[in-house]
Amino acid sequence: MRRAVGAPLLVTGLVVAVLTPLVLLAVWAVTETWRYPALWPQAFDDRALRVVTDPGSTILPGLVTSAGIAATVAVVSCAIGLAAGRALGLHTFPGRGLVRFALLAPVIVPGITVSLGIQVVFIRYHLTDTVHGVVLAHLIPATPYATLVLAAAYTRLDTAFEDQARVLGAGPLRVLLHVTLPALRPALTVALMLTFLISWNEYVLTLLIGGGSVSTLPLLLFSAIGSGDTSVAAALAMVVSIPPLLFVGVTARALTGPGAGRNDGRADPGMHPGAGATLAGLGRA
Amino acid sequence: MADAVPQRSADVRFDGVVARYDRGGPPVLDGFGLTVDEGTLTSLLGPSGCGKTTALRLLAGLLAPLAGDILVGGRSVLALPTHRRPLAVVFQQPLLFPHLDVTGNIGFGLRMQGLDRATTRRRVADMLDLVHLTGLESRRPAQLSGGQEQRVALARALVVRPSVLLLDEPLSQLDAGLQQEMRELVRTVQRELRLTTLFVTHDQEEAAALSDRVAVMLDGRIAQHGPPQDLYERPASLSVARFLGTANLVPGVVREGSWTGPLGRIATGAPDGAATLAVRQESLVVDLDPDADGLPALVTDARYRGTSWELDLQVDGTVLHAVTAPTIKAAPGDLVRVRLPPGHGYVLPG
Amino acid sequence: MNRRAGLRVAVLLAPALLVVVGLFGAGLGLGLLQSLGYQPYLEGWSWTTAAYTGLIDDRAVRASLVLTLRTSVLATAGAAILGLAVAMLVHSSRRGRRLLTAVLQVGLPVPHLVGALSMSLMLSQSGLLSRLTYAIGLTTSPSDFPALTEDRFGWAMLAEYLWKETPFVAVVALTALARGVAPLQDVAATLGASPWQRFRYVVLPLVTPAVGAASVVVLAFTFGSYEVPAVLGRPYPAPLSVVAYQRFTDTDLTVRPQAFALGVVLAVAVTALVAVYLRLLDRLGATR
Repeated sequence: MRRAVGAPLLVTGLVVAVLTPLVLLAVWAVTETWRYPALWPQAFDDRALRVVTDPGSTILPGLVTSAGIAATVAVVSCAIGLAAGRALGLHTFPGRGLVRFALLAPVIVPGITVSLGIQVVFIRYHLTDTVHGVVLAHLIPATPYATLVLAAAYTRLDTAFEDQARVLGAGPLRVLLHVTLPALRPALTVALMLTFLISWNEYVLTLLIGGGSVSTLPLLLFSAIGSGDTSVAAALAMVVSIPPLLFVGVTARALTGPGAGRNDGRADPGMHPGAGATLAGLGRA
Repeated sequence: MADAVPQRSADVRFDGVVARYDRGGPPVLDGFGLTVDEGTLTSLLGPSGCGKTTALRLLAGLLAPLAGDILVGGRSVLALPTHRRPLAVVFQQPLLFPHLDVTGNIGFGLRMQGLDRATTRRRVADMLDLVHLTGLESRRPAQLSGGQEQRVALARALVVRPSVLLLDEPLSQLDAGLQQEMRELVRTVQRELRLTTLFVTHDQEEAAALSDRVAVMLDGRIAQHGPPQDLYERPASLSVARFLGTANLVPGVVREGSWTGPLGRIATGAPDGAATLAVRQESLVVDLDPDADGLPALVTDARYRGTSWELDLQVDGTVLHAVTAPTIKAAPGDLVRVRLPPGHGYVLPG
Repeated sequence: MNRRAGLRVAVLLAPALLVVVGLFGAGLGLGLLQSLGYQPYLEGWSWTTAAYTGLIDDRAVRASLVLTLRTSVLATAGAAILGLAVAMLVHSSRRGRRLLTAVLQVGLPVPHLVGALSMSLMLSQSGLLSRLTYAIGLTTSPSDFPALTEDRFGWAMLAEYLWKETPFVAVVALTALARGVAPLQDVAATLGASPWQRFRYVVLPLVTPAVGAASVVVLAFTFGSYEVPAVLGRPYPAPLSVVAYQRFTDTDLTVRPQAFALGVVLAVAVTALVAVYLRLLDRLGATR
């Protein structure tokens, strides 16, 4: 009834294919010499790790910049998404379909098109080569995802709780802080992580808007790759990968566990919409 | 039915079947045996966890036994995978294919057999007629009510002309009125097609109403198998009586062909020793006239049930439960008479 | 809809629309305008289609279009088919399913640059794969191993996209499968469907909408991706996004409008491609 023998082989092959590239990077990160055709490094050294963690190098500041930008983008885009998501998820209004479509456009259209076009305006308003300019630019891909994930959560929200709180005398801010946000917490967590990652991983937008002045980790990684120093590039690649791996470790359960989504015995041929948007974001990132 | 092809029904037999749910754990069925005669509807009745669904899944081939044999029409089906067994199943959930409409769902099995479109369409139309769903051909499952879905599931199972029909508590998710309707539908269809049917349920009323025979299943084994009336009037054991909710289980003793206890003396063939008299609520006759025939009894509680009164009676130190017509007005504190007409009590050892 | 509610919705949507219309829309619009000669802050400009005509005659651009199209279509088809296959494989293994699904997701959130670096270390002529072929005697020097990075076809790019996007499609498919496919397969079996029939008529129809939606995202992304070809590809032929960047940063400023034009071409092409793909999915019955 279930497949038998060939499967373990394929499964092993699958695991190897997925993990080998990353393991390879990890090995290179601690390599001193690894010349062709050796299958294992001839000499190990933590030089690359030291370079990467050296307070004097450009990498630590780059990490701080990346983290700062990503955190800001996450918070701002989710705030925007909370508002817009509420409108999309709880209200019906003329043009709703159009708004959804408009939100999907930044997902489809490549970032380079938009950043090329908008650069001239950014220059005029002194937004290029600045951190806040980059944050603004990152909002473009992040906002749609935040909005769609939160809109899906809002459709499942029971407004009775908010009404109840208001009846008991709570003002709008209290209702938001003590009723709405806690109820949305799982989706909000996912949205925050997703938008953080979108910004953290972003390269082209930072390149074009940040000019040479804003140094984020992806930019540093790109030049490290070009520099020929494989160990440092690999070490840096590992550093860049840490928050993503951490975050997905946390959300992996939510996305694929059997408890995710409805459970009423009816098979649902589509995806849970929030999970769908989330996964799409990861595919893009 | 349009195509006058006779139904090839078959009998079903479980023989010493041993099975467990999955790896590890004690067997759910241990030496399970059951025969369902050709063309009859047998209910498999038992509490949750007794293994009745397991038995059904074994027959369907969704589970393999550790030991024993399962035969359909005298031939073992153990070597056959599910899709080659000559049976069809209606599950507790309708489990309609969400990507197909009603016609697609009902015609699914025929499509798998490779039947041509025209014949498929005709048989599906006949089936829709049989379950009173004509007109809903192009609806999607999401647009159907619970009752309609279950009828489609039934039609889907019947249209493939199985030799055996299996039903796993298919009506438990429906509300009362719908259950009645569906029960009648199942009964009518089964009789008309003379289809060997195994109906798994935990609802005694349902079992009693539908079946030619009822098999009571307790702890992985058949405790009693016979016409519904036998179960209530001559339960095979104390456990069966308890399961059926026989309200009055009066302890007493048998000596030399006679049971003695609070309700008097009753002739019985049961062996000497401790024995319980099983008496249904409905069997006790209550007379409000305190001087009538019978044992004196004190009414300790009276509950109105709409269609009857339930009375708790104290008789000779024991509490008995009786049921009377709604017009009889007995109140707590009243002294009444209660008697057991001959032939209405059954003595069980133990 | 009453005024108050309407106002409320407008206020709620305003920031998002500001970003989408104000930033994204402006960027798109300005890109289009600048490709036609518009210069918002300078004097003496005029409308012209010179940028576009320049592109049409340009061999490099034609080659670029072919490369971009080929790579993204192959990557999308590959990720969709392989992703589906992987999902079926993982789904059918009873014991390790949870663990396997977790393993699959490891590569998902990692930046494409990291994937590109990995692929270069694996697939270059002195990379891991080449060393393996040396170890088993198939090659005797780096140059014996085929050039997969910085090559005309774009093998390493394709490999990176597949490595990153196949698990994505697989996880999306698994999510769709997690919702009750097994009972439906049981039903189908009782109705006489063989294992192959169960796959073809029950599992596949249930999972294709999800795979279809995921692969649209893959298509759009691979078409416009910059960093992967920048690391793994060569300057010529390069995908449209890379060429656009090259023209933008070219010291010859007369070439700059072509960068905007290429940006527009990218946007139009990817939209058209997605539209065609969605139509195709619809035909195959893969949309809800």
